[in-house]
Amino acid sequence: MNKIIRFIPALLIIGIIFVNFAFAGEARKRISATSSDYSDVSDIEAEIRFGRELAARILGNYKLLDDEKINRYVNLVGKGLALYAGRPEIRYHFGVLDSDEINAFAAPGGYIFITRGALMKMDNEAQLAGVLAHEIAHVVKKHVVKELNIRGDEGSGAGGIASLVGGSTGTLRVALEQALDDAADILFNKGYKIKDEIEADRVGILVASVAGYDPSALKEFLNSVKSFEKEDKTYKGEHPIFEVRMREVNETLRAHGLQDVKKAKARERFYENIKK
Amino acid sequence: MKISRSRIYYLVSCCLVFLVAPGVFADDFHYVNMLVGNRAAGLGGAYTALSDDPAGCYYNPAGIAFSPYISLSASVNAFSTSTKTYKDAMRDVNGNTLNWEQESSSLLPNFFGMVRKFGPGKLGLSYAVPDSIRRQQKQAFHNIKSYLPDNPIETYTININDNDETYLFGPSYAYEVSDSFTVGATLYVYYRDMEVIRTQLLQFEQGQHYLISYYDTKKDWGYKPILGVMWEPLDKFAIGLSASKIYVTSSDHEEQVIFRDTSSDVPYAIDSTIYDFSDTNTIYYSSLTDSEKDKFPLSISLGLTYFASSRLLFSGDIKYYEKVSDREAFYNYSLGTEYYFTDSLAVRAGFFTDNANTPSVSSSKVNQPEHVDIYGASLSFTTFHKRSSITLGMSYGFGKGEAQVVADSTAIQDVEIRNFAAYLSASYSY
Repeated sequence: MNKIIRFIPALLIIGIIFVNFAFAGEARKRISATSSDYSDVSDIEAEIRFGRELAARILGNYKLLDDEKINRYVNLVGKGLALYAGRPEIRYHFGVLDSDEINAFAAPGGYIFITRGALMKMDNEAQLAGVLAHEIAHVVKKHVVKELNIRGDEGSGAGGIASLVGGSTGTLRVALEQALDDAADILFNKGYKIKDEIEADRVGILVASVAGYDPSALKEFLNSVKSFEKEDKTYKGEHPIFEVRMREVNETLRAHGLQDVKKAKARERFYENIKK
Repeated sequence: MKISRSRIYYLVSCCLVFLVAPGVFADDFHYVNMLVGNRAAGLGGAYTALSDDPAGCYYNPAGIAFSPYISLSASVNAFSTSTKTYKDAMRDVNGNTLNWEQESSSLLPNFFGMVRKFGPGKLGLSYAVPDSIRRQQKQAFHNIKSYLPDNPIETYTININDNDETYLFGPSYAYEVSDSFTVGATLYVYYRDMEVIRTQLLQFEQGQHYLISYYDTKKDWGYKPILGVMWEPLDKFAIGLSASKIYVTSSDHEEQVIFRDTSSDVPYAIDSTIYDFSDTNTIYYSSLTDSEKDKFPLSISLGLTYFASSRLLFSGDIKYYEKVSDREAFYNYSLGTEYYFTDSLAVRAGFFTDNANTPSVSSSKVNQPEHVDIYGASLSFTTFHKRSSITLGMSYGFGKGEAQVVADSTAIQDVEIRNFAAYLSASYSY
């Protein structure tokens, strides 16, 4: 008995020693929770509602840039990309945040923001398209929705029985607030999982390329951000594992034969609208 | 835990025939009388290293740190039935042996729990009924051989009305020290409500009778702290450890006995008082109260779960109980597996032991508690919907052992126990 009791602090110490080997309980997730494509009407409605609330939080942290021309331009580029993104049920909204930071955010439901600082680091419209397409890809692949299990109403008899156990509007509201906290934490602090970032890069490159933009533009921008990141602490490191991402970006370009493809960069139009 | 040794022992021992000894009331001889929690029950209780839903409050509160924002779980109804058969407990006038059966059944929701995010961790609130016995039985045996020469028992009537339930309710809190290491604690309020009413009447062929009516109530209050840790050292493995103990802080026990015996012409003493039951106005009555508190062991559970894939997992627990009072130190084991046939249908199966906390029955002693090790299996099916799941499950336990149902006798009877439980439960998460 005494041996067992002595074993408890030993286990605690060992656990704390190994805490850095974080696997975040991913293996616990059962297929019932991970297989859904979150695509029925109530799921999409829930996603849009959630995204709208999250967008409001983003705008609570950042002021929207008071420049109609720039906002209009970014919206035109973004909505042009969205036509090729494959989620016609989503109405995308793009906005420019008045911040020196170099960052971009995607809230579920199609609410996408890019900072003024990021625009200032860009050299052409293809780079803007690359970044916006990357954010659109987060929406298309429902990364936040799946991570936080944002779902609509049950709509089934069995679910109705279960909801009698404790489902209520108030409870749902509390859960929504907690999910919003976590979503904001993903956007502002933790960042996406690296596999989600890699997927967004891959999908974003393809979307931008199909829309007629230079497929290497995202790679160029990431490289420029990487050098900037060393100088400016305001860069929040949304894209933390740079080398891994660059390797995967190169692999995407190679796998799709896009390495040497030259498409539009629209540098003049970009400068005319952004940096004039 | 101590068996209530009341004066009924004395009264029962006056009659050298089968009479139910007081130790065979509630099942104090096992610690795993009902499996709690829908997923946990399907896995045979092998849940210490899972515990990532409200049932974790009961098994290992550190696990609830891994549950969704708000999770609710309730067993809509749990039906449990138990049959205990004492082999060859009686002998009739022709020399044939007779078995005596005790049956218990209850229908009640045995778990409700919820978990939600609170501050830096997860807060849980749960209610569990880990033990419930409701036994209403009227039995009559005829032409039983008695201790009186040439005067068999024409009718032996046993009426039983037992209700014995244990409730746990209280809060839990879990904190994520890191992504792979969590700690948690539950503080349950413990409440046991027991009521035992038993009447035994022996009607002899030559007109005598022997009547004993026994009424016993007990209300215990206490608390049960549970401390747990959960550690995921590797991607597909989780290790859980929890420790718990019930502390009874107050006990209100009352016992009443009514007794009359006309089978003997000779007056005899009970509690230093001579009773002459040939006087038709004589009856024995006693009432006792006490506040002796039951003692429970410290129990430590160590669990390991292997997440083979998102469809399949295996889980195992080993649970140690320390020696306390007249209860032995021993281990229980459970193993469980979960497999998803489809994205929305899972089956769970488990194996568990419910070993006796009593020592083996010795042929040189009397009035010993029974010793029956039970082996059980569980099976459940769960259908998943968007935010909810419905589980239909069942468990079956069987054990053989030994007992002494005749008071103050060294005779040992074989005992068989069969337990069955079925439950319907729902879970909801946001």
